[in-house]
Amino acid sequence: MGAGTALASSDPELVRRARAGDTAAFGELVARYQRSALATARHLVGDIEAAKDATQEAFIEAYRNLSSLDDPRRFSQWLYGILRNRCRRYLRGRRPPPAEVDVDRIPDPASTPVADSGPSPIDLLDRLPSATRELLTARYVHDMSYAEMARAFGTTVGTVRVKCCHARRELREAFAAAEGGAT
Amino acid sequence: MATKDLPEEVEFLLSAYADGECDADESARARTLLAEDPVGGEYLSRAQTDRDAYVRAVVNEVEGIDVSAGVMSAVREHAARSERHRREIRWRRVTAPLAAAALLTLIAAILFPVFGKSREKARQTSCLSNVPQIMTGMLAYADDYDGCLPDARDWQRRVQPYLKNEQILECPSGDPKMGRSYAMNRQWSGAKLGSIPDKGTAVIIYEADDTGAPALRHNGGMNVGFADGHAKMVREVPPGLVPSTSMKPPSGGYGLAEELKLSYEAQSEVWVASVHEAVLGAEQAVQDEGGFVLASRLQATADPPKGEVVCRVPRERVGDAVNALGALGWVATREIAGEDLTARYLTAQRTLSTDQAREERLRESAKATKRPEQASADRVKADEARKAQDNTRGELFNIASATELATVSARFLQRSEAPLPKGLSGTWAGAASAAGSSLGWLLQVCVWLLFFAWLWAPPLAIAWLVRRRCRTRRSG
Repeated sequence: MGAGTALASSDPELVRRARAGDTAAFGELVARYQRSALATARHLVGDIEAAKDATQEAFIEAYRNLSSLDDPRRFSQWLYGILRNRCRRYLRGRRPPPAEVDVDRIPDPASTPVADSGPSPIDLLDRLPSATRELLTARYVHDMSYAEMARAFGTTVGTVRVKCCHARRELREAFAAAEGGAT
Repeated sequence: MATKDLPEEVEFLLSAYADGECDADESARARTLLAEDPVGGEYLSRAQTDRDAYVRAVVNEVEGIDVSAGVMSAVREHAARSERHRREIRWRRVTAPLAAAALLTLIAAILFPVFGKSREKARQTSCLSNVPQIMTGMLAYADDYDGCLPDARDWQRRVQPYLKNEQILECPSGDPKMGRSYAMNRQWSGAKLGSIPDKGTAVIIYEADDTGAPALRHNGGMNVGFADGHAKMVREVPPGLVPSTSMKPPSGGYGLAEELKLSYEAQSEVWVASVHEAVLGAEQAVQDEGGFVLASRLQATADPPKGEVVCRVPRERVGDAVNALGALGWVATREIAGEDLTARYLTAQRTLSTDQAREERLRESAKATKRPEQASADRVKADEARKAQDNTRGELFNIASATELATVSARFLQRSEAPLPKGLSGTWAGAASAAGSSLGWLLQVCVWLLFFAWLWAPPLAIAWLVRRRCRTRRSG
């Protein structure tokens, strides 16, 4: 996601123009990344309205601090970092803090009366731990490499590699549980 | 589930392989594993399915939502505000040093005259303490000379033994190159103190410029000394004061090279120099015609600079003298009346020189001889020679003051581009003359530029420091 068409200007070019005061160039960047940013925010905060606010604030903050972006080619990753911090701030400020749902503690679908349609996929995913959600959005929504994720999360590539494997496993189990519940 | 059978190490490897994060060796190992064990293939397939499902679920949730309008509105507002801020900072950078410079100028304009007046007041006080001391010397001299005041033309030399201080004859506000700042009222030159009717109002000493004219140099006032010995500052030239004509220029003529100030226009300096040269030429012409110069003045501060020569020549040579002066550019007027005393004056001058030489010789002889009688006799003769000199000086003064003489007064007002006289090289005037008036103008521009640079240096330095500090903070 986030890759522009062949004819569209590249991220560094748009960043350069935006730095020079061209707001339209920044508008192109917003159009290019707002979907992935919204999806990430929605998944991290679990609330679409809060996600909209967080995304808007993240873009505005990015615009204000555009001059501090060292490598314009990494705009996407840099934006993800800002967005993640915004979402964290939102979650911290929310009272009471959202209880993280452990997949292991999800009640057995067999013993729970379930509606015919079952929970939506996003509801299932919202039950994943926040760390897992952050990893999955960085990897799958923002196409970040292990090295970029390690830099963003302040850890090592090896740790990211292991955590990604665990996250994948949790995702698989969540989907499997949903399939089991549906059947 | 099938993947549960995979060892954890294999699962890590396949997970990284699925994400395309394996190096060459790991990729080769993963491919071997996938070829050998179908469970690995299932793992990869499931991983891809889960990934697609995840992305679909997450992205579908926000499908159709557009936040760009809100973002762009805020961005445009911020951009406009930033532009305003940038313009404001740019404006401040321009106006702040200007305001600082204007403030400095204002302060300087207010304070400089105040400081100047205070300084002048202090000098005036110092000058006011000089005059009574000079008057004390004058009165002491009168005591020794039958109550007679000294001659106005050389009173300083005569009073000096009583003062024993050369410095006292210089006013702190006077021109230090001139050396003498005070002159004697000619009205009382050589007069008996007893003949002065009101000693409390009779001005004996006054402050004079280089031409002998009264100089109101202390904030529009001057110090004068009265016949009773007291001194005070006056704002106007006292009535009845006859200015001295004997304010001799220091050695080397009018000291033009030293007296020139930078504030003169370069062209004016050339004119001053021309007039100076003309004065010297006139003096020489008068001497060539067998006459002598009573007074020659150069008013350098007048615009245009003026020269004036008052001389006396033998009656039969008056016409020639006027013609000679006219040839030098002088406008001469003549007065011929009564007896021609020129020859008498010249004879008296020669007598004076002879007496001076004789006195000097006798005094040296008195010092050198080992016989006391001879020394005593020499001293008596020397004193006689001194008295003879005094008499001769009096005669000279009387002749010079007499009106029944052939007098030639000449004024030089002609502006000339004549070259500067020798001796001016190395001065501003010399520089201006050497390179022409354009260089003089350039010199003045440079001086003004330097002045403004001095004025602007502090605010610019402060602005530069502030800007640098801001940059350091920003980068920090």
